[in-house]
Amino acid sequence: MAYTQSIKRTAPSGKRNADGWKMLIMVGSLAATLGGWGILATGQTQSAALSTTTTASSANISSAGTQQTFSQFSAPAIQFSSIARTRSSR
Amino acid sequence: MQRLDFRAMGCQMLAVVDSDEANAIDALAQVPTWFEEWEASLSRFRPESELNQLNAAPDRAVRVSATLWQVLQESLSAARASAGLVTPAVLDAVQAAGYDRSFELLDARESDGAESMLVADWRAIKFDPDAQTVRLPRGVRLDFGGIAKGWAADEAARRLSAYAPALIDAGGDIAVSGAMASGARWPIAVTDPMQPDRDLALLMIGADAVATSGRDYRRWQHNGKAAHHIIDPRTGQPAVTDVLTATVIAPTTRKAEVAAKVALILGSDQGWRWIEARGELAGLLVLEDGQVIRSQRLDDYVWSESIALFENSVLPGLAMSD
Repeated sequence: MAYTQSIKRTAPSGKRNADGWKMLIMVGSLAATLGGWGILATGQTQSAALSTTTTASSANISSAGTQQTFSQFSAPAIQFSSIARTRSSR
Repeated sequence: MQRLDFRAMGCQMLAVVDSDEANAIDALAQVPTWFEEWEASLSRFRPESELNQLNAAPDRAVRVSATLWQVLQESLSAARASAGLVTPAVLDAVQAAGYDRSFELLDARESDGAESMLVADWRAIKFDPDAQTVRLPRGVRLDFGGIAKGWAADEAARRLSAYAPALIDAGGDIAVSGAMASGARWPIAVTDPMQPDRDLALLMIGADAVATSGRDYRRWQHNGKAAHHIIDPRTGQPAVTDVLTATVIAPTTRKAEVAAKVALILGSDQGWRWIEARGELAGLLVLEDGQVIRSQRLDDYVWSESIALFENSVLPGLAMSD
């Protein structure tokens, strides 16, 4: 008898009881939330990476008595990336 | 898209053109030269600057360059618009607060000397538009401060716009010449003063400018007390305020710079109201306790997905109506 009940809990027919659906929804919600934050975190990471790794090609020029370096780069593909950051003077 | 990083006016600068054409790159290469010329005229830290020569010639009509004339007129307009809260006649007070040399040279960020100096009346400055001359009364000495940077950012972006859409970041004060070549607005982050390697929000700026004024960086100890570079002309001392940084969006960088400074000097309550009362402004204030206050019009500029970054910010108008 106990063995039979155990087989039923595995839902061989593919149907789920109410508790099973609740659990599935909870797990799905958690995964979606974590996934959303993951996307945000990825955006922030790429934003930080953009400012340090965007150099595709460079050339040195002399201007105003100092050495300058051009950096060719692309507009951010991830919308969360920024081209510039406003901050107090520094 | 091409970018050029360089230092000028004591700050880190960034110039961008949204083009890979040769003439745009040639123009971009000229930007440091433009800033060098402007700094040679407008800096109080260069003994031979035109500004210092003017400051050293009280009670005399001095003919000035077009650059100095324009920045002086901008600074006087700012003084009128801010009821004197942002004034160019602040040099003696800034120096009395300990900011008497380039910030990089402030010894261990400490200084001593007079506690404060009354700020001279900017309305006593006389000028002749036809002759382009300026007469400073004795006791009135000028420091253009952030207005010079804002003006330079606007002017450089304007010049570059003849070749391509452009962005100029003058130490955090940012001008754009219009939308990017794609028609999209420029994505500009607002730095979190509490964690400078992180951002508070992402602004999308097309036809406007954005500037931040703060006491989170240019600060030091003066006579054993904390001091910073934003003088409240009403006291002649560094502003006592609960605002740590103020970020303002305005039609021009120089207007954004002035408005941010006013909001910081006034403090969060009056400063927020001052911004909200002006339809051309939007703003974001970060308070000393970490609270973030934003104006209602800021939502027109914040990229919606970045709202989560400052989800704890406060819309005071909405809060007060609850």
